[in-house]
Amino acid sequence: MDSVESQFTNQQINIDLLPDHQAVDFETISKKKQTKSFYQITIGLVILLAGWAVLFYFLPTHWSLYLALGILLLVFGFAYLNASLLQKKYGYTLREKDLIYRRGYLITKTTVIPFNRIQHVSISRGVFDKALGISTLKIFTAGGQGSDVSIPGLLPNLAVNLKEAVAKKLTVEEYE
Amino acid sequence: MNKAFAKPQLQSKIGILVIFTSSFYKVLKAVLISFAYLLFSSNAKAKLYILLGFGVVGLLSLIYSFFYYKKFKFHIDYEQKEFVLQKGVFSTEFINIPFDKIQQVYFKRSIVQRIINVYEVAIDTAGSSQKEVTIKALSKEKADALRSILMDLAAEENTDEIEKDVEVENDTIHTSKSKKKSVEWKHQLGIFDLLKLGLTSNYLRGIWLIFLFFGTIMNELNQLKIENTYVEDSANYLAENFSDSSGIILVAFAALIFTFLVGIVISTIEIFIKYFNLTLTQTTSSLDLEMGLKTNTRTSLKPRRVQLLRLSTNPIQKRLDLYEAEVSLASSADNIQAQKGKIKIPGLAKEKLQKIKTFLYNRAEETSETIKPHRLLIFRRVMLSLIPVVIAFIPVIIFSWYEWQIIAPMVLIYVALSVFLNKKYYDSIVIEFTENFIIKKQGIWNQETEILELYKLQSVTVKQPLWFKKRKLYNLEFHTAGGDLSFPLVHEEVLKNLNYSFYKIETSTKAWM
Repeated sequence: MDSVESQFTNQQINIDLLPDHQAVDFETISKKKQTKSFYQITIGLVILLAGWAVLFYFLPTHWSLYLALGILLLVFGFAYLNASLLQKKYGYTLREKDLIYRRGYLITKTTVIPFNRIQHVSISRGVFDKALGISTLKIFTAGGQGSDVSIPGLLPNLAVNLKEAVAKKLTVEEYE
Repeated sequence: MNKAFAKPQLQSKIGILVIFTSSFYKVLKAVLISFAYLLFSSNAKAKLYILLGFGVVGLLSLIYSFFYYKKFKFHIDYEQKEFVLQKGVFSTEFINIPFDKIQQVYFKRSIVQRIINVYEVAIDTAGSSQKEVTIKALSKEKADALRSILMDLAAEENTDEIEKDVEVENDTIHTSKSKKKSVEWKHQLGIFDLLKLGLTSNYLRGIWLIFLFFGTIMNELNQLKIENTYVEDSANYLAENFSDSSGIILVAFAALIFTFLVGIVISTIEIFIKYFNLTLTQTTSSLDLEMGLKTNTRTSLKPRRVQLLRLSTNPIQKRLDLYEAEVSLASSADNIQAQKGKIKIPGLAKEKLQKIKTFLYNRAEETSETIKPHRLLIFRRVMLSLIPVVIAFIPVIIFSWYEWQIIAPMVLIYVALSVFLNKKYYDSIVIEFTENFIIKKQGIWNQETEILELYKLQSVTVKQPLWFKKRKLYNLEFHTAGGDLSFPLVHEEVLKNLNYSFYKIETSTKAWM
C-alpha cells in the first residue's frame, strides 16, 4: 500500500496554475457540413411537401390543411436556421493529453475526453459525406452514449490524420 | 495448477429439468391467454384440445431440452487462455471468452434450481458486444471450482498486463497464500430487518406497481371479452349512495388510504422477495453478496470494478440506522442494460457503510468546500413543474369546463407547494471537489450521496444553454463506465475544478476497471 500513498501525497497542486480547458482555440470544421445538413433538410421538406400536395389534391379543402402547411414551413425554416447557426459552434482541439469537442447552438456542449480513456476511434462516411468529400470522426469511450463523440465535417485526410494522431497517443499511453 | 475443466463437458444430468422448466415456462407465457381461456370457458371439447396441445408442447420441449443438454458443452482452454462454450440444437454456436475479458463470475438460483440443488453460473464479460454467458445447472462443487478457477485466471491475466495495479497483486498473493479467504466482517438481514426496511421504504413504487398490475389485468380481461360486471356494479353502487360532494370526498379519501396501505404491503413484499436472506461478507480481496427469494444471486464486488457509489437514506431510516448503498459497476454501456450493473445493498448500519467505503476506496474520507448551484435552479425547477399544469389547462381553457373559483386556489396551492419543495431541494443539493473524489449530495426526503473517484472518470461534458450565457452558468455532466453524474447551474469559477479532474485522470496510471 505504501507505494500508492507516496504516489499521491507528494503532489501539491495549485488549481489556478493547471492548464485551463477553457483557454483553448477551437479548430473549425468544413463548411460542407452545413451544405450536408441543408441537403438533408431539403430532402425531408420535399418529401413532406409532396405528401401535403397529394392530400391537398384529394381531400376537400379544409382550414386544418393550411395550418399543417404553415407548421411544416415553420419547422423547416427553423431547421435551416438551426443548421446555419450550428455551423459556427462546431469546434475541436487536441491538447497534449486530451481532446476537446464543442457543439450545439441553443445548448452549447463541450466534452473533454482524456486520451487514456478513449477505447477506440473510427471514421465513417455516409452517402452525403462521400458526395461532398467530408468524413465524420467517431471517438468511443467506456462512459456510454453521453461520453462518445462524433466530429462531423472533417476533410478526409484531416480525419485520417486526426485518427492516427489519437491512435498514436493511445498506444503511447498504453506502453508508458 | 491442475487442469480442471480442460476437456469439454456437460452440465449436471438433472440440469435437463432446469432447461425443460425454463423452456416450457417460456412457451406457457406466450400462450397465457389460451390458458386463461381454459379456466374460464365451459366448452368441454375445446378444453380437451387445449390440454392435449399443452401435452404435445410439453413433450416437444422435453425432447428439445434433452438435445440442448447434450449439445451444451464448456471447457477451459488453457493454451488459448479462454473459456469456450458451445451450444445450440439446430446450429452450433461457439462462444470464446478470453480470460482477461472476464469481469465477474457469479451464481444465480431460481426456485427450480434450488429444489434440485444445482447452481447457475453466470460469467460477466467486459466489452459492449458480448452479453453475459450462463451455464444453467452445475453441482455445488463444480460450480465453486469453476468460479474460483475462472476468477483466478482472470486475475492472473490482469496482473500480467497491469503490473502497477496494487489491488490485483495483493489479490493474487492472498489467493495463492491461502485458498480460504478470511472473513473480515459480515452483514446479514433477518426477517425483522426486512420488515423494518419494507415499512420505511418508498411506497410510491408499491403504489405504482398496483396501478401497473390492475392495468394489465383489465387489459387482459378486455381482450378476452370476459364480461366484468363488478366494475359497473360498484360504479353504480357508488353513484347511488355517495352522490353528494361530502360523499365523494369521503370515498376519495378512503380510496387514497386504501391505496396507500396496499402500497406499503406491496413494497414490503417486494423487499422480502428481493433481499431475502441478504448476506454481505467482506474478505480480504472482495465483498461477497448473496440475496433473493425467487432467484438467489451471488456476486462478488471488487473495488476496481466499482465506478460510482450511491448512499441513500430517509429521515425515518436514519433514525433506525438503516442506510442503503448502491454500487454501479462498469456495465455493457447500453441504457437498457444499465440496471444490470447496479447492485443495491439495503439496511446497512452507519458503521458498516463506513467499512464498505474504506474497503472500496482505501483512504480516509475527504471533505472540501461545498459548492452550490445558482439560485436560478429553484426558478427553473418550479417552471418545469408547471408544464404539466399548463398542458392540463389547454382543454380547460378551450372548452371552459370549470369555474375559475375552483381552479385558481388549486393552482395556487400547487405552485406554493412546488416552490416550497424546490426551495428545500435547492437547500439540499451540493457538490464537493476533493483531492480524490467528486461528491454530490441531494434530496429532500430520500437523501442521496453520490461518490465518484476521480480516476474512474471517462470524460466530462460542460453544457451551456444560450440563455445562461450572460450569467456564465454551466451544467456539468461527469461520465463514468457505470453511469453519469450531473450537476446543474454552476458558475464559471467552478470549472477550474475540472482542470484538476483532468489532471487527475491524465496522470493516473491505475486501471479504472
